[in-house]
Amino acid sequence: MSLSGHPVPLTPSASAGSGAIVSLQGVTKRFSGVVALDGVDLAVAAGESVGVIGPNGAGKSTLLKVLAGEHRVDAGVVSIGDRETTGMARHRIAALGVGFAHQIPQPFRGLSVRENVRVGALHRRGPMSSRERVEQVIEICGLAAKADRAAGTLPLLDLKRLELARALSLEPQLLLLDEIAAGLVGEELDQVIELLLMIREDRTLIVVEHVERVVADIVERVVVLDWGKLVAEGTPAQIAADPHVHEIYLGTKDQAAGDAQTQGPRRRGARQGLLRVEHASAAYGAATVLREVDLEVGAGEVVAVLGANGAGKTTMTRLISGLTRSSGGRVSFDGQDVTGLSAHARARLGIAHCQEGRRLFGGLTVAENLMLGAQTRPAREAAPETLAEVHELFPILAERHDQLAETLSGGQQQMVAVGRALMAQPRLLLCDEVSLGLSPVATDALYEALAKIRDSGLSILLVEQNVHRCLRLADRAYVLDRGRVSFEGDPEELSGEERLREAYFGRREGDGATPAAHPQSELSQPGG
Amino acid sequence: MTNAIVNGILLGGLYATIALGLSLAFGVLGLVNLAHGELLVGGAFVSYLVVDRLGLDPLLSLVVVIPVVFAIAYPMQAWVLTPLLRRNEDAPLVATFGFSLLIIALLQQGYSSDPKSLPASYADAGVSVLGIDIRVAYLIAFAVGVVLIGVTHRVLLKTRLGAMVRAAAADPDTASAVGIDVRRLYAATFGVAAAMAAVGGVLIGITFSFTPTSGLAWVLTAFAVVVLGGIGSILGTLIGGILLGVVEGVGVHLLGGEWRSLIIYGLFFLALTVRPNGILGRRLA
Repeated sequence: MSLSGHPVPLTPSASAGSGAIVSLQGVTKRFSGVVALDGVDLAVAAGESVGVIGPNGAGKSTLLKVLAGEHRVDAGVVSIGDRETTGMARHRIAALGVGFAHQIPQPFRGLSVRENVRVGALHRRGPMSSRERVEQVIEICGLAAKADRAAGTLPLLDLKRLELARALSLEPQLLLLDEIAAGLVGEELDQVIELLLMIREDRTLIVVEHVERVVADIVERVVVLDWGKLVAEGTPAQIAADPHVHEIYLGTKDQAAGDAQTQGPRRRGARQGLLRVEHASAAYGAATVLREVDLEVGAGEVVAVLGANGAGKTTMTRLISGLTRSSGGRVSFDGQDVTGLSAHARARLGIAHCQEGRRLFGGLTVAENLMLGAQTRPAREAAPETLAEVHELFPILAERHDQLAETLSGGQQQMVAVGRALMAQPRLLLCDEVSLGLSPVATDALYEALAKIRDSGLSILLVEQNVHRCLRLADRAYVLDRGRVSFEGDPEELSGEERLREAYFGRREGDGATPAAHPQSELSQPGG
Repeated sequence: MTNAIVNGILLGGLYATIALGLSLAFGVLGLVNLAHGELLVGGAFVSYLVVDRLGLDPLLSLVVVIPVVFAIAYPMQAWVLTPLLRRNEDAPLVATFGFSLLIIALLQQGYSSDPKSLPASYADAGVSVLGIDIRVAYLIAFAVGVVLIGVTHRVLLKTRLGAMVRAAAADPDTASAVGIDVRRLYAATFGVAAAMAAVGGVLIGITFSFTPTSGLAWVLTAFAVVVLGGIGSILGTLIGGILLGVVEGVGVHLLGGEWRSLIIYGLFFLALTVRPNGILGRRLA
């Protein structure tokens, strides 16, 4: 089935010309000094389905937003069809036949499903009346039975369908999908893939996706972004087998070997449970992010939590620090049930949280940021000594004492974030992606510091993309896979990479968690 | 003319006092407090009650007025505004409008609409300095305004408490992750902002007069000051207040008293058009 009668070709010449319906030439996009896209060249032919993958912060969503006109480029040329769309307003690009389904569906919550789709359809003239088209799109997306329900009451899967329907109602020739499958599991995923296969038939798709099955099933060509640059390109199978792509996701082993000497032998003694997470679940709106997860951190232990983007790692740390409330289960710290405690109360008990993206108070000085870490009376009384220790760990921070935090480099900011956490004299340090976006030198410095912190007896929970480095430091590791713990144990068992590759790039045949309809994904084939 | 300028500067100190609480609530809590005018008038009524019953001087009555208004405002933020803020950024604005109506209704229940003022021997006294006639009440209001703003500025920028407030304003999530009780801090900030409004109300009570419904005019003046000085900027509030006072004083001197409101709102409009971020425009922290 397809959307019959829709073809209002983007432009007649688009297919007749170079064959490229989308072309980006030297496209660069910066956000306040951070380069999100760095001279990207990409051409997509009419009817082609292209997947865009890459680690967090690689520039994937920015690429889609540039195409949809939600971001203006700083350099380069974007064309869609035979029209140059660089700097063109969003609604005019949409009118060219570009539909955009966002990662987080944001329908008009008070309007019904039908009304939501109709709002989109209003902007488009075609051979069909808008009413017919709306009904057809609703039908195709499997929302017919729920057409009169308020969008705000839909579960996640239906919200995703509605987001697709809204994009489709514009009768797009080019459809941009930003993590449309994020947060879906099992049968829900099958249904969305089926829907995407149907939609794919007569249009061009550009798909940003972490769920490897979607990539493997839907797209013909995969491009890999890293630090805003296109670094690899190929069929899904080729990309899955590309060792360079593995490095981008997992970090290189060489890097990890470098700091071996700074990290003494692992101390595994009698573990006294310091932190215990039992059957904890968490959800953002309709999207369940963690499902009945069990996790434990012993006193003085370093525990690594690994997993692909969207596996629930960050939510895990937020659940422990209390920034995200669990929707089920229990969190206890030092024998005390803290499930009902707010974030500040948990911080005062000794849980320090270095959040992803550092989250400094940018308008405050380095000194103010650090001193704000010491909130309890004992921490405040000991603040001068703790500060001296932090300065010993990160000497540069002593020099930058009175500088505004926002003027520091990324690596220095991360040092302030870790330092601020240490100022609380915590017993558990949660580190969420501390090396994300840092240069190798800065990462080295940071990991050296973490090793020293570990040696001082502090428990650490490390969430990392840079797998090898993180595993060198860890006493124990967990792998999260779409909200569930798929591995728990000795980090050395992970160094064989097979399990890691599974978690990051897909599963092997016969894995029970994968529905039978898709027993094998191409991406799970170990490469040559 | 010199007379008009000097008195305009002094009146500007009063305007700055009135606007300070509004500026603080916006800078820290991101809250446009539509009940600011009623908290101000409410403070004047509390003072009126204290002066009436205890026979205190209106300025001395602040010892009672400040804690009373703080105690009334604190739970408004802790129990209503902060929980609303977590759900929807616009909801607290509407809630403050509700508070505004509620306070007006309560005051109308208790007092008539006859204008009241706070009796003070110095209210209408004047002094002559270098040939310029100055109202003593203006002088007091100006001094109070300058001190309040100076102290607030210093506390925010130089103390640990100030750093906590700025941190919680910039990123409440992270502030709570380092152990700051953001809900309490927000409530205390709102309480302090309301107490500042009440101080302004007492000064107005001494200098002019008030009725249960006069909050609206004052909150509009306060908005004009905040916009002129720069939204969320504490020092800007003083500059904005003085600028408004001087322009009003000179304008009235040249054109006549019936132009007063037009001058104030005209300047407000002009500022929004030409310099929407104000003279020292920058959000706090």
